Amino acid sequence: MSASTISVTLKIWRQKNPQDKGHFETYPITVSTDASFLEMIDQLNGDLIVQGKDPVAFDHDCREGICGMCGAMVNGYAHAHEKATTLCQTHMRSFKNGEEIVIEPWRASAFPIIKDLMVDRSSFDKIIQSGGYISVSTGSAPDANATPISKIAADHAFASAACIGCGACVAACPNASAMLFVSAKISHLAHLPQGRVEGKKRAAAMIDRMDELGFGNCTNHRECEAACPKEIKLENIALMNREFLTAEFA
Amino acid sequence: MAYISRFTKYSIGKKIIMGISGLGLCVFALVHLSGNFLLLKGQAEFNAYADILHNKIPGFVAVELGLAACFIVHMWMGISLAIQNRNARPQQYAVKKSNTTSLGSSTMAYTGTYFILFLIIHLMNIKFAFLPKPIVDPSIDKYTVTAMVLAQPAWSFFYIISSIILGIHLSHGFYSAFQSLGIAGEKTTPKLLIAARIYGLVIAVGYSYIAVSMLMLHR
Repeated sequence: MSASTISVTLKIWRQKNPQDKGHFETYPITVSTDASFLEMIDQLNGDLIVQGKDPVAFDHDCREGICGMCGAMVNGYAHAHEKATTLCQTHMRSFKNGEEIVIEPWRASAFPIIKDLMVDRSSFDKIIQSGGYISVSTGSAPDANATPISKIAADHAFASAACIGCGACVAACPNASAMLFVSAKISHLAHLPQGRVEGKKRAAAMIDRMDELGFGNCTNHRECEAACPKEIKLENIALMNREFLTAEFA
Repeated sequence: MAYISRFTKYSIGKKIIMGISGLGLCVFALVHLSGNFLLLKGQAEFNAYADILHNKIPGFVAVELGLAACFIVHMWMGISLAIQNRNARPQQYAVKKSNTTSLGSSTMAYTGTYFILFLIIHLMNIKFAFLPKPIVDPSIDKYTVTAMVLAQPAWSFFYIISSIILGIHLSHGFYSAFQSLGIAGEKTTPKLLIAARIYGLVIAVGYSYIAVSMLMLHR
């Protein structure tokens, strides 16, 4: 396999700390088309360190597309332009030679910028802490299939549980709404009998916390669904709304 | 009252009220359109219809008040949600691309605001016969008032543009209301999206057709 290279111009958001106003800086770079997007930033950072400059801070961990740590707006798309792909799984071969690539952090008041492309997503943890768990006793190590769960319910629960909490939904939403994330967590538990016990209070508590944290509101643009690297469906938001209504009136 | 204020404290509560009031207004838009087609039938037919609505149906005032409540609540919730949305992203992206945002969804606040202004003007010149100077003759009938307005090309054009803007608003709003009320799913969502576009088109074309026809008939 022969590796080719492309030369691109990076326009990266640089911000020293949460208080700094921030600005864009431009860096030309020639990189292998086999490099992942994060490896490309690694290469840039290597060059910056050699030049005695501050490397670009960005979040990353598994680099396998499963942990939810990486993420940035690339040319206006959350996790770049490829469908159902995290930023770490995006490769430089999907960019054109000579292209300008604008890289920005997620922008939302509930995701304050820590430095450069790193944002504080602990607001997602706070939402989970408000009810995204099961606290009832479900017994210890039951027999497989002791609790009957239909294939349809199991598939829905699993599809929702695929959410990695990366924040792309908030980043892509024109209103910086977290409703796709919250609804995925509610939906994941709502489809399972163990989760149903606390279903009523869970929806209200998680929605209340989400509102307190300053996220926006869904206006059904469906941008979150299109940007989600795990293809979480917007129908989860409809289910969340039903759970909320059930909690209020049933 | 305390219950309503607790319900609307939640973002989802606001969205649900927005959806219910929006669907109420959607029904009204269709009923109003079908009634207005009697304008094309003739003066006697339209005036008879107006007479039945306003004088023969007991409690019609209550329907009008309910409709006004829908408008006020829809506007109130819309403004409240829009303020929260604006605050949720104080700094915009330098570059932001859309994958799915439609003309309707991206302009809801603008088309909604325009429609409120339209509604004030519409009520002034049709319901209260103010064109733009008041018509003092109390015996003037609804058909004549409407014909006097729509016979003027500028007014007719205003109504056509307003119909299109309303159609754009509803082409997203109709689907959005069902989604907010939790009536959406893998199978129903694609159908709702198509139904909303058809509904928006029917409203835009239907009201425009009446405005054009009345201009042709009376100019």
